[in-house]
Amino acid sequence: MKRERFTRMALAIGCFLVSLPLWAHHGASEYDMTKIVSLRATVTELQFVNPHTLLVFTVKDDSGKVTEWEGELPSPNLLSRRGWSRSTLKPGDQVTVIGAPARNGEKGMQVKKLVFPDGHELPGTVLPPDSSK
Amino acid sequence: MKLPTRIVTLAFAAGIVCSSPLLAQTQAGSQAEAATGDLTGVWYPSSVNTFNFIWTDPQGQPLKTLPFTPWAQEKFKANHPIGGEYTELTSNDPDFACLPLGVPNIYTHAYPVEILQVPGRTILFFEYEHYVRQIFTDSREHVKDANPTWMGDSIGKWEGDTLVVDSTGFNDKTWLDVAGHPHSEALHIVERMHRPDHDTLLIDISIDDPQAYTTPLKTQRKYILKPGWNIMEYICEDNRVVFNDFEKKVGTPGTKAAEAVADSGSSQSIVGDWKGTIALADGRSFPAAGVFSASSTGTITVTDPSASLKYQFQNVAVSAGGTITAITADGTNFLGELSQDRKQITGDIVLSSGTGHKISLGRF
Repeated sequence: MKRERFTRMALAIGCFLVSLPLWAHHGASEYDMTKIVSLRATVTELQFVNPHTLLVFTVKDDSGKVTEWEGELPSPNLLSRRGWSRSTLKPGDQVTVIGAPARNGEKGMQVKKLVFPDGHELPGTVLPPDSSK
Repeated sequence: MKLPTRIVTLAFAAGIVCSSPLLAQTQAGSQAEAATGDLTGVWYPSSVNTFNFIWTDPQGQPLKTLPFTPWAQEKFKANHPIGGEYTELTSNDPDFACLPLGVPNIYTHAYPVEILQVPGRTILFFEYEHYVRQIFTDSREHVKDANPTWMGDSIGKWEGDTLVVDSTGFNDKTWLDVAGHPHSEALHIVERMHRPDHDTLLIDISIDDPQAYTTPLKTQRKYILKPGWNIMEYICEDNRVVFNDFEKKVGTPGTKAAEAVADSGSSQSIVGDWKGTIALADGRSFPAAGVFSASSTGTITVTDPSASLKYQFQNVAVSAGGTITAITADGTNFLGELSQDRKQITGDIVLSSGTGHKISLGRF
């Protein structure tokens, strides 16, 4: 009986430890998951190519200084089933990019989601609950 | 866009059937084939699957460490999976060299697989790298003295609606899983593929490799039917060169202090008690409660008696624009929004590997 309860509990808890390797070719250890940055970005380029999607963008700080950032996203195959296409972002588009920054202080991040000026969002690594059961 | 891809997929399947010199053998064998189940369709890995396999012993008891032989222990030490101190730049995972994943590692990747059934054969067409497994169901035996291959030699038989797949003939260049567990050429895999209901595919996997492990191992994967989906192109090398530059930029240890332009704030506006629901990635919902303190800490508790779970957050911050961020000690993020009237919190609990659960809380 005790073992059965343990198994049930383990199963229940296991259900919360949900995770799949979205990163076919690498993990997330480069990123500091204890931090989340929210950047007002101007899109330079979207490389919508397997196995990794790369978003290049610039950020202007309060003093007007412009810096270039790069953000990685899941593969186009995964993103295109969740509302993305290669024309989702065009050079010059304004969007808020939210993600975990690189540990080494370089201007790179793992993009968790995008928020557009009209308030609508597109998922990056934060997958909507209905993406799979 | 969809039609051509589908045609390509069908043509691909037809090509396998028609171009094979084994055609005559297949046709002869199919006459002996018993009644079959139906596993056809595009299947997507369920989000209840964990990042790596949960390995158990033959009795179903979870194993913390696998029962290595001395031979496998040595090989395991030499494998450097990603995570911890290894990144893509330093890991020796064959996957990063665009080499095939092998079986069962192919099931750890979050890409769909299409199952096609033709007389005498069941074909698993994986989106990831377009790997193909042919499972011969025409009563043939394994290839004798097979030259070892990446995806092995698979024969299957139907037991009612369950396809029982027996695979041997693997090379020893692949890992069993993303944790770098090795195997030998003696690897023998038995998979039971079945549909407990129309929309669900379960694959019960048994591993027997006496050169590497002192007992057999078991694990399971769950897939969800995706009507209307088709397999898309996925080529490992497409932007590998460009992306390697990015990898070097973010993956090389540096001494620069992170100077993120963070939108920081205080947790003051959400201090207090909240109640609402959590919608799990697998579609289930549970009641949830949140408590946030003035010291930038907080908890979100799932209050279902069968699955009590508490996330303890620190570094809780609410930006001027209402974006809420927080983190647990083990790297689980909370990323949310506070409504303008400050009475609703919506957001995602994001595990360090990516998948999220939706949270919706109201002032209590």
